[in-house]
Amino acid sequence: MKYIHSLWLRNFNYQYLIDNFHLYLLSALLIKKHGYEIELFCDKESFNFYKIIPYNKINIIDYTVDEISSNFWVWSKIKPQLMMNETYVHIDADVFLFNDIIGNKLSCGEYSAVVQSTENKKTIGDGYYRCYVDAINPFKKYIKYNIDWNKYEMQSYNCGVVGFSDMQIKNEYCCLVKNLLVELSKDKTFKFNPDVHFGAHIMSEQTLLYYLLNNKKIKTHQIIEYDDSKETDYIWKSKIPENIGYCHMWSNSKYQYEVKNKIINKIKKLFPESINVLNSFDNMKNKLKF
Amino acid sequence: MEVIKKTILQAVTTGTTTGCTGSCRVIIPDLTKVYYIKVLLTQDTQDCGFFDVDTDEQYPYQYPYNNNELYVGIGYQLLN
Repeated sequence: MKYIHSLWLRNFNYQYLIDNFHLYLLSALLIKKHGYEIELFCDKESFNFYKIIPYNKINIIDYTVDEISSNFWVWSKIKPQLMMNETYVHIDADVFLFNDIIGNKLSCGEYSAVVQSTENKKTIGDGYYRCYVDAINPFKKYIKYNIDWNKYEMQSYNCGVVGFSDMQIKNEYCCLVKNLLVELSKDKTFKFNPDVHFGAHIMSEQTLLYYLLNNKKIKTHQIIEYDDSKETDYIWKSKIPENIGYCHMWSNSKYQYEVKNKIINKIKKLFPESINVLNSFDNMKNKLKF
Repeated sequence: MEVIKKTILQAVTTGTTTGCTGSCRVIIPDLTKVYYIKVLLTQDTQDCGFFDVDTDEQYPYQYPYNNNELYVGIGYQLLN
């Protein structure tokens, strides 16, 4: 089993490369520490700056040939997964596995899929849940998969980590997402704004995955299992992630100086041999231009 | 060189600046933050590099709909 990272430098936003470098580095180093291989799938522009991260392999791919708008960052995660033909786990760059918590659960055949956790009313709270439901509603009409939306309360799988040992179900998932993104990219009436952005990504990456795996009764391992006996134990308050050694930073939080410094200090503490990689990138970023 | 302090109230993530030849862009990574941007005023063409972002708060990001408490992720104590 291998781990994969993905990166799509959209709209030549080189600041994105600067802001995320230390995340990719720590996330990858932790995976290698546990004895696994990790590969990066990225465009050639990103490759020029991220090649100094000690990945086992870097695959250069062209994200622009699939008629999918660069508005959809989720395509950077899905396209590499479409290309996989062996058991793998995709890990977001802002996810840090301090312990080997997935282990051989996929590779030994115990599970066909792995995700971070379920997101529903109980795990994320009423307010955010309503936000989810409202956000995905406009996209139901685009889904070409027979989903009984009334069968479940709206739920989704957080994909901080997402992996498969069953390549057939993986392909079905990735094709569903790709078809949705192609449809949205073609629809000229589709207006893109931050709210739409949120809904489109929740629907494509998370909600479709939940419905697909549950409809087909795919045996799925959730890294963070929710305890139904605790009604108010929202996932962001839970101590489970900390206890098992799982960290997933949210949204823009990871770009704040305090958080960024903590991540860099963690790299220096756990992987002192990688300080030269940080120094090399500091030198390289001064050469980046708009 | 003159230093200008200006608060950006609204911005797009990328966009060509007015009066520019078309090759320069303003990149705002977080629309919810206030940025203090140093602008070099000179007639010479210079590479200004990237703007540095300063924020005053320790953990400015809040989980939506949970305004009384600050969380920046799950398991983030592991970074300490």
